[in-house]
Amino acid sequence: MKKSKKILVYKILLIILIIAGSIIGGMLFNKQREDLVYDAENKELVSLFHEEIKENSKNDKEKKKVELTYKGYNVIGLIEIPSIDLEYPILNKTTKTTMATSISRFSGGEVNEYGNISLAGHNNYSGTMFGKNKKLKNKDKIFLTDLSGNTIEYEIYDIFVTNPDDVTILETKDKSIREVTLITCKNGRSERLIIKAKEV
Amino acid sequence: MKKSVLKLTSLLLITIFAITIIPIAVRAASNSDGIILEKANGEKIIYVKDMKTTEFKYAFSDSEDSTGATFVTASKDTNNEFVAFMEKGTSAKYMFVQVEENTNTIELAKQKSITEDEIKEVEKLTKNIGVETTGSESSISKDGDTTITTTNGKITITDEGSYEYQIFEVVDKNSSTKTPNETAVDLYSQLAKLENAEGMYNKLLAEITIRDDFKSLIEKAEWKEAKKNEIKQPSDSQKDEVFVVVIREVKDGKTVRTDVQFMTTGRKDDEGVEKTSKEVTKRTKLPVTGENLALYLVFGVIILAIIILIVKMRKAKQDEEK
Repeated sequence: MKKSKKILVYKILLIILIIAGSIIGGMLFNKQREDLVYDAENKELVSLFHEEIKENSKNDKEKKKVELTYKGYNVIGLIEIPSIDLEYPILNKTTKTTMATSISRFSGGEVNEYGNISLAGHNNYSGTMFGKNKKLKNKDKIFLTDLSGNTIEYEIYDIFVTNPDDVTILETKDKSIREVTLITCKNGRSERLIIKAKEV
Repeated sequence: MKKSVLKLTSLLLITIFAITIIPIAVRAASNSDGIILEKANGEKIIYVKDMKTTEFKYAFSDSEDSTGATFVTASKDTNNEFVAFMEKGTSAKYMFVQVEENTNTIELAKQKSITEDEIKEVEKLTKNIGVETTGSESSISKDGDTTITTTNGKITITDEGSYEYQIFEVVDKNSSTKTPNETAVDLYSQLAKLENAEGMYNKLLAEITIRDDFKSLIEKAEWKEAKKNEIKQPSDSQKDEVFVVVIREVKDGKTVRTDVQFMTTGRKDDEGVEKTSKEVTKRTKLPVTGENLALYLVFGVIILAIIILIVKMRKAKQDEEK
C-alpha cells in the first residue's frame, strides 16, 4: 500500500513538473521564435535603409535623409560589425521595447557626430543582437551609417567589463573625435561588457 | 640767296614728306597676336586676334621684310572664322597679315600654340578622376546655451586607388590667415572665361592658360594623402570661399592620373538656444542588456527533476513487483 502511495505521489509530481516544464519550455521557445522574427524584421529594415540611401543619392539637388520608423521609434542609423556578421538598424532611444527588438542609442548625439555615442543591445544566447560581442577583439572594425548615407569606420581600441553603475563609460572625453561605445550584459545581468571604438 | 633758301626749304619739305608716307606703304614689324593650333595631321591653323570676321590676306616668310611675299586670302574654318593655314611640313619665321593696305607681322616662334591632344586634356581636366562633391560632415559644439551645428563639405574620390591632393586658396574670406594662390586664381578665372569665350582665338587662349596653370600647380603641389579617399573642406574656411583642389592618383610612387576640382565652401553654422525646460535624462545606471538566465536554469532543473522522478518511479514499480 505504502509503495502504491509512493508511486502515486511520484506520478502527481511528474504531471506537475511536466506542466511546469511545458510552460517554461513554451516561453523559451517563444523567446527564440521572437528573436528570429525580430532578426528578420531588422534585416528588412537594414535593406530598406540601404534602398532609401540609394534613392536619395540619385537626387543631386536636394540631399534627403533616410526616414524610417520601427514600432514607433525612429531609425537613426545602421551599425555593421563584419567580424561577427552583425548588421542592425539603430533605434533612437533605449526602452524595454527597443531593447527587445534591436540595437538602440542609450546616450549621445546623432550617429557619426563628434563625441561619444553609446549603443545598447541584448546579449542574446541565440547570438542575435550583441550576443556575439564577446568574440570581438581590439582592432576589429565597426561601421556606422548615418541618415545621410555617410558611413564612417571605427576601430575597437578597448574592451573591458564593468559594473552596471559605471556611467563614466558614456562620457565624451574628446569632442574632436568620433567614438562609439557598445554596451551589453555579461555574467547574466550582473556585469556589463563594454566595447570602445573610435574613428580611424 | 633767296633761290638757295627756297631750294633748301623744298628739299626739307620733300624729305619730311617722304619720311612720313613711306612707312604707310610698308610698315615695320609691330607684332600682332596670333594663336597656333597644331592639328594631329601636322597642319597648323593660325587664329589672328580680332580677325575672325575680317577677310585678310596672309603670307609666310623667313624674312621680316614682306616685300615680294606671296599673299593668299584667308579661308574659313569649321567655325566660320577667317584663319591662316600652314601646310604640313611647312615652316616659316614670320607671317604677314594684310588688310587693305595695312600689313602686320607675326613672329611665329613667339606665338602661343596648342595641340589638339592638349585641348582634349584641358576639356577633361575635371573628369579624369571620379569624384562625388556633394558630401558633407556635421559637427556640433556648444557655447553656453547655444548649440552650433557646423556643416562642412568634402570631395569623395569614387575611383579605387591611392590619391594625394593639394588645396589652393582662390577666394579668401578669412583674410587673416590665407593668401590666394595667383596661379590657382588664374586657373579658376580662365575656366570661367573658357565657358563664355567668343571666337576660337579667345577659346584657345583660355585653354593654353589653363594648360600652363594646371601644369604649374601640379609641379608646385605639396602633396597630402587623401585618407579614405576624402578631401575635406578646410576646417576654418568660411562660406563662399573658393579653393582649387589638384588631385593625383599614385601607383608605385608614380603619378598615374591628375585632376582638378573646385570647392566652394558652404559652411553653415546654425545657432540655436537650448531651452532650459527641455528634458535632460541623467544616466545613473547602464541598461539591462542580458537575457533572464533564471528561466533557463529553472527549465534545466525541471528536466533534471523529471528524469530523476521517472527513474525513481521505475525503481518503485520494480520493488512492488518483487
